[in-house]
Amino acid sequence: MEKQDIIIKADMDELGSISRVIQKKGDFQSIEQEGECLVIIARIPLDEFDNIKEDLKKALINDFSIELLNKKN
Amino acid sequence: MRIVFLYMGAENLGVQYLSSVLKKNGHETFMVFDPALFNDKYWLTINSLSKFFDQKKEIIEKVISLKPDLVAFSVFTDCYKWASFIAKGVKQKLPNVPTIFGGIHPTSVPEEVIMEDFVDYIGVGEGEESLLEFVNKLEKKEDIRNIPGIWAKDSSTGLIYKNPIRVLSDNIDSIPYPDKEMFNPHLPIKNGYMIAASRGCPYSCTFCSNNLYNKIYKGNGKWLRRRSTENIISELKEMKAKYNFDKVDFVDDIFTCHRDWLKEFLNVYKKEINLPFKCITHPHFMNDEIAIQLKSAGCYAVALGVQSTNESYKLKVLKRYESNEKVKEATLALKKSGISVILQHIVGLPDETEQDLIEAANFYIDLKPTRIECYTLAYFPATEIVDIAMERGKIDKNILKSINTGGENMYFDGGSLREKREQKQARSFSHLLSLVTFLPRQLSRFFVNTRIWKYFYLIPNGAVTLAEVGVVLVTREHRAINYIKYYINTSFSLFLKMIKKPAHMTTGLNK
Repeated sequence: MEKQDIIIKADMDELGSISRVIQKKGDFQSIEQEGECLVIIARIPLDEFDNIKEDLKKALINDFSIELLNKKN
Repeated sequence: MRIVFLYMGAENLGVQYLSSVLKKNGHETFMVFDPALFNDKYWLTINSLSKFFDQKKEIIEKVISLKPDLVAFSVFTDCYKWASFIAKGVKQKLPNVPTIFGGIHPTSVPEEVIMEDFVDYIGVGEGEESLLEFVNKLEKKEDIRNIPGIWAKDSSTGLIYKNPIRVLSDNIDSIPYPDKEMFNPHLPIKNGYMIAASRGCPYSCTFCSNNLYNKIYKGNGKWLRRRSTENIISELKEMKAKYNFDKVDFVDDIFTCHRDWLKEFLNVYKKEINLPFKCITHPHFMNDEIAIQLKSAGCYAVALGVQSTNESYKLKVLKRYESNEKVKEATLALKKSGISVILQHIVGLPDETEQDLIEAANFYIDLKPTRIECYTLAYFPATEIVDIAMERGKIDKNILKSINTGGENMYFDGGSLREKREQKQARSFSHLLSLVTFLPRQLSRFFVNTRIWKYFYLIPNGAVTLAEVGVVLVTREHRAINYIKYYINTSFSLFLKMIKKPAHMTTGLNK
């Protein structure tokens, strides 16, 4: 299945909500801290980006960003 | 200056770092280690034997004989009572020598610890830079009342100087390699090398001290930090040449939480170090690909936290977000690649039901990991689960006081459970989990379905310990095997000393 990496930047307190969304459809690649933010890279199926973005909007309390990184086979 | 550190029961990486920073800056450090046999708060608690092997008075004598300028304790909650006893004894004999308590316990409840007569200073948070500044100023007789990360008590006025926590340094590569020589005479480094590739954990599980650290370091620097591959490999090479160890033990909270780093690191590790190793990780950071990479680099065992298998409960009460499906995937990935899997479970959680335990047992019977470490919940000060337990009426103010002063039993020793029924259930369940890893599945299911497991508390601890020793030997878990050897050797040598000399004449182990 073709997959893609996404990068999510969010408040450190939101890791739980992000985990619950990501684990349903993808895999974590890395977690790092950047200032007061968590920078999470996750690998998800190619066609799931919009769904995950919507799920995160519903689950997260604070502002966050989500971007596409690159395709992976 | 001459700084005497004290610790008990096990190796402590934090103290090794503190010592190396001080030594690098021209100070002398010493370790007075109490083996605390049969009451080490980590492996074994057998009260009758622990009294026989008690060394606390000899430890105090040893500290005094070293003529310290500063006596420093690294204190976990489980050894706070021990540290208090020793500090009191030292203070009686050396009233003018300052004592400092650092580590997670004073960081959690600084207000309480600083009030103790036998404590002059406390270190709050990570200690390397704070302790160095403190010791340098103490030596030069400069003002030591306003050092970030240090709380100071003015003994003449009784005033307490509560300084803010020190902002964390991003670059942990700059910290000198840990001073392994401190523990080497007691717990030989050649038997296995303990190392951390990172500091901090992004998760905030309610029962864990990271829950507290994540809060206190918010706005005070980067808590989650990783060392460079070069720095770790260089430490391992240097120490391998010195101690000739044959195994490595990575004690990071989540060793695999950065896949690109992990891939790069494992490639270099295999080429340059090539020793079997063990690590700890989180189910979210384990899959077939990672398991294969780990195995290929020499990983022989991985510990994974599960803690509860009731998904909604663990989400709400423990702030553990992984699904059972993820735990299963992670365990199977490791088993498939031939790596031993150690799953960690907590029993005795507030409002946990018997049904929760039965479901957990069935989950583990299906998975059949190599070993299950079952801990009874021990409340640690200032963690979120203490608030949850108070809200649910499981803890009152007296118990809270006991938690904050290290008065509770620890996770191998009955934890914070008070009711006999709960204690029996926890003990039965813990024994069941010890057995399911090597009993045939059908037999384990029989014990669960017929509820015979509920009577496992009747099995003597010694019998279960022997069974566990058997598993450890079969799976060749080096750390446990070394501890078994250590217990036998240290008990024997202490016993010989005791029968040769009157108790008050013995000088302890640290020579």
